[in-house]
Amino acid sequence: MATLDGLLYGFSVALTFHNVLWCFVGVFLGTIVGILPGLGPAATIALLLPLTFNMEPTGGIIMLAGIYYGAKYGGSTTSILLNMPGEASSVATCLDGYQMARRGRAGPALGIAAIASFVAGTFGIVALTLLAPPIAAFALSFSSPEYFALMCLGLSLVVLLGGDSLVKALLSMLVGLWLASIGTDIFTAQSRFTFGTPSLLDGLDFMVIAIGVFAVAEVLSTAESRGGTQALHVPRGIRNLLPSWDELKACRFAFLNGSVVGFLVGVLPGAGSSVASFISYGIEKAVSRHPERFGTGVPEGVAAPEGANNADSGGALVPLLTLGIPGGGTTAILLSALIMWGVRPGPLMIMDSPDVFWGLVASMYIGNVILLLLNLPLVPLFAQLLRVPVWLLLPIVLGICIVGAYAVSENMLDVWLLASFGLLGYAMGKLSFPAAPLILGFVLGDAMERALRQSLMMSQGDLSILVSRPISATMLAIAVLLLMIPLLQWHRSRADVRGEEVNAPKHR
Amino acid sequence: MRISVRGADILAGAALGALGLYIVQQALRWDFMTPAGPGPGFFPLTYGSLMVALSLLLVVRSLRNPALEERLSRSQLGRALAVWVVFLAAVALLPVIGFLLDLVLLTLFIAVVLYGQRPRVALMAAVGIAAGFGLVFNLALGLDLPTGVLGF
Repeated sequence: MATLDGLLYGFSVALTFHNVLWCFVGVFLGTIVGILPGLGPAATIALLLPLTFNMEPTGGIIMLAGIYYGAKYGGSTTSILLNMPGEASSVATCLDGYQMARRGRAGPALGIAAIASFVAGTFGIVALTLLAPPIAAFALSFSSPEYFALMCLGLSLVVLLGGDSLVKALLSMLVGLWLASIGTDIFTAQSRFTFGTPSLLDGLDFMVIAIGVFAVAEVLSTAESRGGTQALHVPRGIRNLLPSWDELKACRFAFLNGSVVGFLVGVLPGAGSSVASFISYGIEKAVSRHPERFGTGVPEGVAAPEGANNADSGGALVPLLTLGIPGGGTTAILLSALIMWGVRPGPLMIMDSPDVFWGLVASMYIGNVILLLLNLPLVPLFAQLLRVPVWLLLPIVLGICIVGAYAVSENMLDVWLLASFGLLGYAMGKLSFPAAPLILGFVLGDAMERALRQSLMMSQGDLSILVSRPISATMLAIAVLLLMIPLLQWHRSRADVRGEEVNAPKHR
Repeated sequence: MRISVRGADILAGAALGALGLYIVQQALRWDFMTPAGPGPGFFPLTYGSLMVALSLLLVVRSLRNPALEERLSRSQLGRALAVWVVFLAAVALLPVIGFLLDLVLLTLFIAVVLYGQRPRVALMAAVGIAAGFGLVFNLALGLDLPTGVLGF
């Protein structure tokens, strides 16, 4: 079935009353799930799966997929308003989104996040529609050396996320790598840095670290001064609650950057949407005329990562639907749902179950529009949440943090760790140690170590495997160039100083 | 009274250096290389060594750079740490009194002690917040909240 014919057929399937209703239910639930830390799309889909046993496969997968990409929309809300990432992929949005809110631009930040999510989400679906089979073949060419190179590329972004002190940024990243090592080594079953605690054998949970370092730390920071009644200033007037045309124009490249990076990284099984959002943020900062403004509340710093984490969901469905390979926990549950309904994802899915495949793809276009229509009008309402008095807001945020940490595995150790990471995040803020590299190190560290060790097993210890393959060699070269940026800047600043000394008027 | 950031940087560098040494010490107990490739000690030894080196660099830079003499306010730090200590106490009390009661006490401390709100108003708000959490997270979303000896 040709692509356009398939898509038209898909719309005829998706635009029935029941399927549009399931789409709405899915994206609505997904948005709620995204807002609340402690309730991720994977857990929600797993909880709702039994309820879908008696549903038609098309309606069921439309609803479950709606939860998956709807959560990406919701995750930005608490990132921007409370510096509390609702989803793992929303951490990068905290960097500039919350700073925009601190400057009284919470509404525009939420609006930009919604629009970026729509643009990039649409791009991801179009790319899924047109490019699924060849992109899937490209993803199959990725092996351990390529994954290692991708992780190195991600870690090299620390030079762009580090702020004023590269030394402190590198130290944060190394702490993140250490935190990622805590647990059991999967190759040898050696327990590492568990301090004799059985609960640590599974390692640390990403959300506990992220919520602690960002949200709890922000509560402590806010509590420093008795100050005003509101934690953040919220200007009045609808004009101040939506992005301006100039802000949207400034985000044009960010929309494209987020779309392309998010989709391509999403296609790679196991890469993770948080990687996509950080890479997109790093690229946006690297090409900006004013990189020093990133981290202070620039719209592009919201648009790029938000776009990436939405385009990522379209990309993640490529290996799932065309090869039957889930990219992560959520897509693994979607795979089990499809198998439960007797649909076998893979190269023959388009031919054997065209109604499910094309119906799902078409429903994502519809779901993306519903999400924009749902989220954009709610921006002024969400922004008003910041008018809650600070003495009410702080315990509410702490309560949500506790619920989020406890929900991970109903283990009190996670709540204790939350408190510890909260203090760590606060101390890091006071001492100008950037938090983003720590999160980046944690996210990438485990996968990077695994990829390197697998690569060297493949080559029997020969390191040249990392540079002899074109894709990994290219990514490693880009990583090296990125790491040389601080050296080039230092060299340029020294040359500027020497030039000023030469040109300075000589005093007699 | 204010605290020197330079002094805090030196302490942070020392603490991170100690962490790096600990990581290196642990990593030396595991295999660095095996016939099958890098062992469990490979990565920790690498980043632990880097951590020690960079911590030393941070300490040396802080000692040599007089421009870093910014000050942190002791009273501001005191308020923040007070909240953290109370938060820690709240976590410790969770298995005893349960999440809802715990949240009420936490809200009362923040509202009355930290922000000087009237106790009656603070109590009403605290009970309302706890009830809201119970309704949203426990009943509506079906999430299990920590319970105490009283069963809630």
